[in-house]
Amino acid sequence: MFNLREDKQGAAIVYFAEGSRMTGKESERFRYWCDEKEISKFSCVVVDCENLEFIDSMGIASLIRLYRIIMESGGKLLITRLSQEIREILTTLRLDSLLEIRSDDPSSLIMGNG
Amino acid sequence: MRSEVFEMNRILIVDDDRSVRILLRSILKKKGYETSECEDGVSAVEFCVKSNPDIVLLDLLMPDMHGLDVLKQLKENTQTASIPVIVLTGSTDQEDKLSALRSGAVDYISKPFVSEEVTLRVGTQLRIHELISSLQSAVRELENDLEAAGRIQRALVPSEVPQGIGVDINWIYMPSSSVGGDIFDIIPLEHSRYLVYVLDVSGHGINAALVSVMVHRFIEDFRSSISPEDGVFPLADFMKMLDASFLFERFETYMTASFVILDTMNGEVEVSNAGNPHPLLLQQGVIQVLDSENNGAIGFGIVEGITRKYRIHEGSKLLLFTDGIIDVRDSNGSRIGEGTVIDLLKSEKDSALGELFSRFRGLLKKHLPDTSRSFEDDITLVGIQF
Repeated sequence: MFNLREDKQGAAIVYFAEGSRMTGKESERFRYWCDEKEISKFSCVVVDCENLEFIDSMGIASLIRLYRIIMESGGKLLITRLSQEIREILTTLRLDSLLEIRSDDPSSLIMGNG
Repeated sequence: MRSEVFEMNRILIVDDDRSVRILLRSILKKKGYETSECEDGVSAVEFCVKSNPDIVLLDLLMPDMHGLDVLKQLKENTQTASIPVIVLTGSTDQEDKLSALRSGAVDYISKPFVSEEVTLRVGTQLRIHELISSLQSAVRELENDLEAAGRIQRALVPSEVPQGIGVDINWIYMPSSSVGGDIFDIIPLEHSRYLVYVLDVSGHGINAALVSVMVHRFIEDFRSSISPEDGVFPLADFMKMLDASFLFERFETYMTASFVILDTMNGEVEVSNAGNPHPLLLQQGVIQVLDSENNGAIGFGIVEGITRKYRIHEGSKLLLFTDGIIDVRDSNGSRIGEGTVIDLLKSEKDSALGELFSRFRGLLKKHLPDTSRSFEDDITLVGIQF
């Protein structure tokens, strides 16, 4: 369900399979997957949410955990191409003040490193 | 050897041929297994019900009852269904082997036996059976813990409206089967004032349930710490303190909540929301979405303590809810959504609160007609009519 594309400059794009739903067990898997991929080693991580259809509170918690891991290692996390519905959820939670939310193509973000 | 013989491994050998039973007994005894024997299918089924052996070696061709019928009876009986059965077949009985595997046998051994094959296959199946049993036992323990956590959580929500509160209060509280983090309460404060809240800890399971119980305790302690001289419950300070006390890094969880202080004597409410769906106020036929007092979710250190006061008229209704109800989907995947909640409130604007809640219950039932199942997320909806 989750995939990672690395670039040579130490940045990575995390993207989801089509029709993904980040709920319950999938969120748990996402956490383990991030640890397995040693996500903290990347200087910039772009989470491409184009294929993310739904996210529940556990899914949001796993995104926040990813944000914290990357921040602690001095990296940068960008979230892009959120659906309107998910964007509204993050806004209601006021997480737009914490997370850097964009709408650009992930490749352009990684090239400019944000 | 530990790898071949496990404690208490009792093997039942079922074969009408005495020489086969003696041979198997000899092979298995050498490896330290305890064996019992039956010469027909009827006594084998009776033995399994009574003695529950660890594994059965079952001949298929017996005069009184075919081995497949014995196997069927064992698998149909809940007392014996989990006993692994290895069938003994002639080397050419390909169809019998397949039928036995399809009927629930775990393996087969072809006659004539090679003793090493017998001990290896028996040893492997016993190990698998032991692993499955220990996994089932771990799952049962986890389910018991979750059930206990759910019971504790449910014990903390009110079972009735506090006496003398002076308003009508109704609620729907439906924790999901996996134990979620929703909780709500109605707490008497000072001078005809009450704190009402609905709160949703992110995630499910024991972590979410325990955090919700801790928050409940935190709120009680905060309330108790206010002496009569201090005066009123400082909602803004409370919100900030709650945020600072339950930071995400402590439990890897966050919360959303709506808090309301009802002043039933002066007809006033003070509202503070923290990332929950906006509370709805139906007043003089008009629905107001209370979206100006949103602090954002609790746990990220961003709560500013924004609150807002509203004058309330008699007959007004206030709805507080977590996101569970709006995320409920029907069989086609379409969400109830905030709009449906608003429409229902609008359509029942002149009804009593009880009738409005009957409509909400009906709406939920329509989305989940099977009462033995529960929704994916907790559902908490609290209504107050002044």
